[in-house]
Amino acid sequence: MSSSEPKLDRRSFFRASLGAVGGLAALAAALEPLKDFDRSDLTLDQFLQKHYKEMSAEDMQKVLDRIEKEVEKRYDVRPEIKDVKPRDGVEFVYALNLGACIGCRRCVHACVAENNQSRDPEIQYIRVLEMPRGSIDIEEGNHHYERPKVPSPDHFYMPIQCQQCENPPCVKVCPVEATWQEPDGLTVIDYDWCIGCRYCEAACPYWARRFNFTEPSIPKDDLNPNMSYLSNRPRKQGVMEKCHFCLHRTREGRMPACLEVCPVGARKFGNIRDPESEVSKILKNKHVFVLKQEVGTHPRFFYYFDEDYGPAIHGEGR
Amino acid sequence: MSQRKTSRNGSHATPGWVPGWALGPILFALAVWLHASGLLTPIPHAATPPFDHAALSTAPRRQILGDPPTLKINDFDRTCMDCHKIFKTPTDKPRPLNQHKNIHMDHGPNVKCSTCHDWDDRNRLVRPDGVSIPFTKVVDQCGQCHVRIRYDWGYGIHGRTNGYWDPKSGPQERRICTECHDPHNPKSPAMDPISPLPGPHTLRLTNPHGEHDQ
Repeated sequence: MSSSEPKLDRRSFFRASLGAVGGLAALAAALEPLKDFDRSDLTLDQFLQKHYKEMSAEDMQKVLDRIEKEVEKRYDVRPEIKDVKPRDGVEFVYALNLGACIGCRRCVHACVAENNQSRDPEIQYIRVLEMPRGSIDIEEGNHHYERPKVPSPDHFYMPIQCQQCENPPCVKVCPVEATWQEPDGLTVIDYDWCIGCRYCEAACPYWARRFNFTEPSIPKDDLNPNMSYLSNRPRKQGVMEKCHFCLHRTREGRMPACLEVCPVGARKFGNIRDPESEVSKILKNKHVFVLKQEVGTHPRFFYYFDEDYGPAIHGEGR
Repeated sequence: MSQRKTSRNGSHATPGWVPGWALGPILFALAVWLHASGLLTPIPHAATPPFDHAALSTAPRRQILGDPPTLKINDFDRTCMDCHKIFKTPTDKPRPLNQHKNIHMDHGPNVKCSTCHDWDDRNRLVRPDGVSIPFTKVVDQCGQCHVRIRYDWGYGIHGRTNGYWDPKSGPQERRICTECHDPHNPKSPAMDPISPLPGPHTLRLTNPHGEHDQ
């Protein structure tokens, strides 16, 4: 053995080959997900999908067809998914009569059924606070009240959902523009664009946004087949969702699901730009207030008490 | 000062008072303890209790009478006048009733049937000014006294409006007084108490220890 010519000794050979094998294995492991690229949740079409605002009508039609197929494959129900556009001269406003609300939570569950929220764990857009009479102190509010019968004579009830702010903090913090405000005042989410960072959830002063921590589960029989892209199509794990005033219904002129089920008529919905609408009359004739006015979000959700009647004012022995 | 120096074997990962070799056993012991203590098991989220989905009906809470009011009696459709044209009511004084015993009358000073019911045509109501109106126009009847609520109802502030917010897109269903309130016994609070549906069980809203901050 001459020491002059470079020679690979046994030890360095093993070391180098071990390193090479390890490196190749790591590379193969890193590329492994690509093998299932077409079979995984994320298809190439989804991956290359454009932002909602950049899609042409044909692009959108293709996307809707694809989502319909995906939903049919998963739930055995062929849905009808539309992309309902906002109407001109319409700005939606909600008004809620706290004097009438009895806290029965019908609105909460009508919303879950209408908007295809996950059932287990159940995601609820509307939460109803039970508060002692005499003050509006949300810190005193209780979400978890369980009574044989409501209303309790000592409490009043305050449902809270997305306030569709004119100055929405959730939109400002979104790093990918997956949420934005539409011309009719609705703040919407593109579930295919959301990266699940939950900044919007933290920014919302009304605690109105919900996150899909787990893969949403909906029984096949309970799926509502009337869907739209920006509202109630099934969501995936890791995306945000929230109340959108049932835009697949309201943009076609119908009332939201929470309003239709309300047994006491506490909920009022309509177009604020129409001076003859119910909400315009309420804003004109009643003392309305908004929640957390001091944070400057300018909600489109108004609360009011009826001065002349209602259980929260008069109680028993009227 | 020696405390702040690195440990014997020169590792910078541990503070001076922990020898480097002890880190492994310490972490292992911690892992065993966490596993055994049950702190690592996830808190189960409570499943939403089942409820009767008939509660989500958008139908009015009370059935109302049409014009003329028809009642099923022994499988036959009868109007009020089918009986009342034969059986004349003797007097309009408040007295124990032989018929209509299910009616519990508690509506303030309105104790006489004839305050609202047309004495000559029992299929209709009568307004205080003597004008006879059908049962379907009961809003005009109630609105004679409850003027302010009648105005609010006219604007759509009071009462239920179902169907379409935009009347040009489709029909609006306005609920009238008796579709929610019992005219013979209007309660206060105005609505019958009903049982609430299950509350929130989203992950952040779950109260894992079952304590209710009542």
